Amino acid sequence: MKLFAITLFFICVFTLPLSAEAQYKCINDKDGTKGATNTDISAALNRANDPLTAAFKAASDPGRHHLVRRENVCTAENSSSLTDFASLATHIQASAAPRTKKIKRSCIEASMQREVGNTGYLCSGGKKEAFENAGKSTPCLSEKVLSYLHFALNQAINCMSTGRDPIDPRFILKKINNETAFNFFIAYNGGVGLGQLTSDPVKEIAGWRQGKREIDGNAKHVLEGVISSSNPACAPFAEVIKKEVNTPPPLPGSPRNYCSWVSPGEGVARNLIYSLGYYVYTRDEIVKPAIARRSSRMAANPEIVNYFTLVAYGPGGPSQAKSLVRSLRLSNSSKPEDVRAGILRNSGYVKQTEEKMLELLAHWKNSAPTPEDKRGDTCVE
Amino acid sequence: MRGVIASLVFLAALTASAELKKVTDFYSESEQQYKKAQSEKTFAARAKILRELESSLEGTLQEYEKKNPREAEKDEKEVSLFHSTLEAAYDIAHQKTADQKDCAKKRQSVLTGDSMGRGESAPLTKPAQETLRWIDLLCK
Repeated sequence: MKLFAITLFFICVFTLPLSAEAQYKCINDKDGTKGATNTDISAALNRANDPLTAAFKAASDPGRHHLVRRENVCTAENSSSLTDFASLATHIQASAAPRTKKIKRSCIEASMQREVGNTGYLCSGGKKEAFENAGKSTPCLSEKVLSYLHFALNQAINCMSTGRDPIDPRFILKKINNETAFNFFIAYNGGVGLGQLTSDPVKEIAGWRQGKREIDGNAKHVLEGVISSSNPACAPFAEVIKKEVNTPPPLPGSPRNYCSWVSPGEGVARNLIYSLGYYVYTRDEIVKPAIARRSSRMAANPEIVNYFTLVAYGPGGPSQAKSLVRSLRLSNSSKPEDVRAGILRNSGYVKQTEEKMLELLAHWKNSAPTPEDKRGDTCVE
Repeated sequence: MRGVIASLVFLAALTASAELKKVTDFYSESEQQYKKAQSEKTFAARAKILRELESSLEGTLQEYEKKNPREAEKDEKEVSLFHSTLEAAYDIAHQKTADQKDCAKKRQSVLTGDSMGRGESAPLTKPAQETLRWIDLLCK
């Protein structure tokens, strides 16, 4: 009897943790070096019921939704607003959305292995709880969180590519990998959420109140474009931000507003639209015209335009990017490879972005990265 | 004759080694021009003074480019950053009048650009401070 009890004890001690681990594999800690155990963030995503999460759930399991077509808009037979958006998501492939390349799931997963530290926030049920994003308090993210981020980011890239030069997903991957490594829940004084937003770029897009006057943001049209877009990829985002054309969102600079920018679901949706919105605004309305003033040939080179746009995220902002265009003597006879090398020599931000890409690649493959890997070519499909 | 040649060689050498204005020189020039503009009563007169500063910076940057045709060096980079930050104020100075909403938007573009790579409410850099000072003067 004693032997039986001892055997039972050992079976329980050794198999229960194993079965729990097998049940909840931490996708952001595949080799277990972080020691992630907390599953609260993954559970918060399961509870999220915003339009983007609903679209994701429908896209993950389209068989559960029975669709009808009504006035060119796909809606579910069960016509609650959430299922409307869910059904829209299932038709994205057949829509007239711009053809953009997608970031591979495996590259997002590789990025998530990176240690970024900082303070994370669990937002659920209107409550915000801070945690250290390191060691055992690192959240244990599920496969579903990874699939959700993969879906949300590619949808946002597709949406924000509507009616303009398509967004090059390689640069967005490098930028997010550098800023947060897809730890969408981190926030501090230097930036909030996936795109590490601060208040000023948000004001630049949504506008702000000055005394009794409402001032439109310089990039307000970006927000209006999402809301009025006929691209179904924009529909869940438009639903989240629709009121923000008239009433600017809570600014990310204040800790009391963090959840509006980092919560799984609505926070991620908002963060993606404002982050990508500021990217396309800077690229198309500041950087590209500055390059075109010196060289029409360089302005027509998307790679060069994107690299200078990344420069605009470092100290000095867009002014630094414009200044570098002059410093590198851009002309129609400039060689793109020399310009790229010059940008890397001069911009600490771009250099850091490229270095962090190497960290991602080290998690992605065992062999030395090729030039294609470093450019991000092999991380898009 | 020898004396003339020697003088010419000396002058040529002096010209070649003459240093172009640095960013500190331009901050002083901006300060002087700002004080001058402060005493003007109309937008047009104040805008004209800023446009003079713009021409001065642009002229010097073109000289730098002739001196270093391949790539800018540190001194030029600093002048160039000041010049490109001031662009928001130049844009207003090239208008016929200062529209208050446009002024607010230009102001915000300076704040947004300056916030990049820095924390929330970080102190403004010197080029941004100087640009905002000009915008406020033009838009008052």
